[in-house]
Parts: sequence; C-alpha cells; structure tokens
Amino acid sequence: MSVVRRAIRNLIRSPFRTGAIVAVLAISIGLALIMVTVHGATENQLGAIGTQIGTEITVRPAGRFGTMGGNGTLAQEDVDKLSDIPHVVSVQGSIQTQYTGDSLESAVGQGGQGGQGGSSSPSRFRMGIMVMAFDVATETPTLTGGAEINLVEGRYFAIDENDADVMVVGKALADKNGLVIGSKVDINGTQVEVIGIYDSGQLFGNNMLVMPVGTAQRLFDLEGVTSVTVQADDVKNVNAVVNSIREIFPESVADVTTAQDMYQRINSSVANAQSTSQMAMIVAFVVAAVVILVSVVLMVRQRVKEIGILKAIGASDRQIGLQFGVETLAVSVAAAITGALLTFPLAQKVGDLLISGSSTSTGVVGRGGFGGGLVSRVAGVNVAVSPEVFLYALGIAIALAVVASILPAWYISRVKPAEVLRYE
Amino acid sequence: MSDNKDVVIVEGLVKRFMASGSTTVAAVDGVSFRLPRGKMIAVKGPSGCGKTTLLNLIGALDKPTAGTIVVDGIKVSEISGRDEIEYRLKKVGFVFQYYYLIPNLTALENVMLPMDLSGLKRNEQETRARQLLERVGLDARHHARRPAKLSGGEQQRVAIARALANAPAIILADEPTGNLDSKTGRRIVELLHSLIREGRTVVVATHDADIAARADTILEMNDGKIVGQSLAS
Repeated sequence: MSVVRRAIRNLIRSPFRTGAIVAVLAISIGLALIMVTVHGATENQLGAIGTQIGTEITVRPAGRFGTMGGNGTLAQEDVDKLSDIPHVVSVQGSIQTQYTGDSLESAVGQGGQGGQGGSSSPSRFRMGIMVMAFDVATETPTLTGGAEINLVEGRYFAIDENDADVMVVGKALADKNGLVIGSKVDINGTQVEVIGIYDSGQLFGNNMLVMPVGTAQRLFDLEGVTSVTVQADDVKNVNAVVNSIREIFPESVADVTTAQDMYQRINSSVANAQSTSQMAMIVAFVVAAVVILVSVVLMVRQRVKEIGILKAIGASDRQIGLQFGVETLAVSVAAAITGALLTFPLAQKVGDLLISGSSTSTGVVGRGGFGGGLVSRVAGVNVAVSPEVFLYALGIAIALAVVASILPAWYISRVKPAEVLRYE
Repeated sequence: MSDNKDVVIVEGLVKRFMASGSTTVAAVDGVSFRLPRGKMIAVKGPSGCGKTTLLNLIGALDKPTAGTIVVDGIKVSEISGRDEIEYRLKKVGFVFQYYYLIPNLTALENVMLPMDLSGLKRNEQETRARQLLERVGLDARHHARRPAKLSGGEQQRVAIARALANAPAIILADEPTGNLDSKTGRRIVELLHSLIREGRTVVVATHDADIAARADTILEMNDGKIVGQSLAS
C-alpha cells in the first residue's frame, strides 16, 4: 500500500470536496497561466512594435505640418540621395497640397456638414480639398489623419502611371461633385481622369484627391516632395540614418522626425496591458496559493484523528507529511492541467480585453489622430497558447504543493496522538 | 534494568495534566509495578482512574511527568524522535476501544499499513496480512471490505491483526470490548488470550470484571494509583 495509493484513495473518498478544491484552484491557476501567456505575448508585441515602427523616419520641409506651414518642398535631387545612405531600406516620397480651383466643390464645410471641428457655424467657410500624392510603388499609402485608402470602385495606380493624368478620389468628394469612374476633371488646366473611388471611413479623409507623385508635381508646379518616409534596416541604426539625413537636409531646410513619439504612445498601450497582466498574474498566484493552503489546512484539521492513529501505529511525521504532500500535489496537478486547458479558449479573449481596456484609458489606439492608422496596425496582441503552458502549469502545481505543504507539515509534527485519541 | 522475566518495569510513574487555571491533576500518581513476559495482565478500575493514561505512557503515546518505564529492555520514558517511532512501530501494538481503523483502506490494507511504514516489501506485507486476518478469524471474503462494511467485532479483529503486524513484544488493549456486545466481547478476549501462547504479553485496560477474570494478573487502579495487584484465580 504505497503512499501514492493511500493519497489517491483519500482524495476519492470525498469526491465533492476534492472536486470543489480542484475547480477553484483550476480557475486561479488558469487565470495565472492566461496572464503568463498574455504577458509573454505583449512582450513579443512590444519587440515587434519596436522593429516595425521604430525604423521609420519622416522628413518634411522645415515648419511644415500637413499642408500648413513650411516653405515649398524637399528638392527631388536631395531626396534621391537618401537611398544611398547606409542602412536605408526604402525611401518613399509623398506630396500634400491644396486644390484651390473651381472645378471641384469641397464636401466638408458650409455649416451643418460637420465642418472643421464639427462646427455648425452658419458661415460660408468651405474647407479646401487636400491633394495627396504617393509614389506608385507605395504599397499601403496612408492619408493625413491616419486613414487608409479602401477602394469601393475602380482601381489604384499602375506602376507605370507615375506621371499619368489619373487620380483616385474620396467618396464624399465624388458624391458632392457627381464624379464616377471615367469622369474627367480640370485640375489646373489638365483633364485628369477619375480611375478609382475610395472610402477611408472619415469625412475628412474622403474629401481628398489622390494622385501619383509625378502627376502632382506637374499639375501643381512642384519640384520635389512635401514629405519623405525613410525606412532604416534596424531600430538601432535609426540615429545614424537621421544624422546622415541631417547632412543632406540641414535643420533650416527640413524637420526630421523619427517614430519614437508614436512608438512611446503605442508602447504605453501595450505596456499597460503587460503590467495589468503581470499584476493579475501575481494576484492569481496569490489566490491559488491561498486556496491550496486553506484547503490543505482544512484537510489536515479535519483528519487530525487519522494523523493521531497513524502516529500511534508508528508512522513518522515525515511519512504522514509525505502522504498529505502527495495528496496536495495530486490536487494541484489536476487543477493545473484543468487550468492549462482553460487557457486555450480564453487567453486571446483576455488579451483583447486588456489591450482594449488600456487603449480606452490612454486613448492612443484607433484610427483617429496623427499616426492612428499605424497605431491600429500594430497595437493588437496575438496571444498564441503553446503546449509549453502545460510545463508552466506543472511548475506552478509543484511550487504550490511545496508551499502548501509547509504549514501542514508543521501542524502534523505538533499532533500528540494521546491527546488526539482522547479528545477527538 | 530489565529483568529477563519482566517485560514491563514501571517505577514511580507520574503523569500530571493541566486542569483549570494553574492547577494540575495527576492522572497517574506514583505508580510502580512489574509485568511478567508472556502473560495477560488486566488493568482494572472505574472510568477516569488512569488506565488509558497508563497504557498511553507504556505505549510511548505520551510522556511521563516523572518516573521510568522500561519495556523489553527499552527505557521508554527517555526515548524520543526516531527511537520513539521505532518503538511504537515494532515493540508495541495498540488495540483501541473504537478500533481506529483508517476508513478508506480495506481490512487487508489496514493490516498492511504498519508493515508498509516499517518498509516491508508489498508482497510480503500482503502475505503476512492475510495470515494475520485468518489468525484473528476474519473470513477471507471480508479482507477487501472497508471498515464501514464490517461489524464491530470484525473491526476489532482487524485492529488486533494490525496490532500484530510487526510482531510486537507487547499488545496494549484499551477497553477492547467496551464497544461490543458481551458475546462478541468474549470472543475478542479469547483471541487476545490466545496471543499469550505465542509468547506475547497482553495488557488490557478494562472495567469489566469478566475480562479481568481471564487475566493472569490484575492491577487495580483508583485515582491514578495502584490500589491492588492480584493473581487471577
């Protein structure tokens, strides 16, 4: 009759009590494992964000933000030099300018239309139509305000259309001006064909004209671009690339910004989720430890007569402690396996909950605001549960069993068989 | 020192318990006696006279306040730790009024338990446990039953078999028939008496005159003192 068999018999003797302890403990351990998994996922995600965003460098004419401020453009010949800087992976120029002609009427403004700042002023102010131009090779052009171009009709530019008289227009602008695919609009004296209509999900974003860089330069008489996005090969080379850019574009000519600010904001969202998961993990561990400790103390207290009998027939404290230890370990392992199984369906949900909770409190995740599109692209957390979670569970179970066996071991050593058998 | 003839030697034994406040009560008060080997000795007296405490002291379940106890050459009153555990495991076998079997183990497993604690191999444990259960008269069909499925007399037989598991020199039986009807009680006394023929010493605490009548020696206790020692007729 081995200690293990005796321990298992004792657990089976009270199936409801054992089941209840395993259930409560499984929830605690499961929560702890979920938090371990989410914590690991957020850590990976922080690394990914660092790699993904931290390598972007933006160059704009000095003092310029969007279509406002600053003077002119960045000269194309200087922009071309950027590709030769060591550690630069890609250089993508874009143009932001205003269309002020009469051929098109802005869809934003004139009171009641949700004009700038949502004002319902009765003034006749009409917001200008923004023109954004991208290199045709740009895979995912992002509009000012962070919105993305989602085509609802027509097509985007072909690779050989960098100087073609074509454009893609926002849905609001198209509706306002009755534009359809194939419509031609006079832009500064040139008939430009509408080849696509997009919906960015924002009224402001849908009130834009998008055209190839070469086309915009020709139509608006611009030399060079108004913004350049430079991608470094590694986040640790960003500063070196910035220094090289500064040799081409001195401070008086251009503002050079890295994605550090944006990174910090996204980082804080995921980091908040990470710290929440860490806190919850600690709480779950403490709860699990308390549950198992209380259970074991109750178990030992209820079976004090049995301990007295065992001592009376010659069992040592170590042998009795071992039996209770094995019982505790069996309960912990059963709970840990159940808890580990719980992580598979629940870890992703908890991860999403923590991220959305953090983003709500910090207000940085979403499509609004500067850089919002980029933020939304990277701020989600993919919580993949690996089979390693069972190893963690086993580790937790053993640790809990060891911790929970200390107090009962002390209690067992203090049981005096004569007193127990006399009074119990 | 132990006399080869005497298996238990008790000298000036005192056991005091804390009562209310700072007062103490002497459950065993200056007891001295010698018990011969291979005999059945009855410790007789009314409830609360100190019989159980005396057996607990001899069995090393409790520590005396003063005095010495020597059992089979071992100074029980001075042992502790591993020696004390070894003594309980191998030198004495306890039989209790309420049997005190482990409820979730079968009759066979209850008898195997002391052998398991002493490190005997499992197959040897089982063989010896079956022999002991047969020895005490428990039908083989009942070996796999748990205590709750056995009658009081059967449970006490299992308890006696358990007490014999590690072949102790002395069996301490505390009111072994106190919870049994008279017919079953007599059979248990017969069983205990039969152990003497195997060379064991059996000490029975009882207030039952019939049991005392079967003993070779009777120690009479009252208020923690030995008030009489006589040979049974």
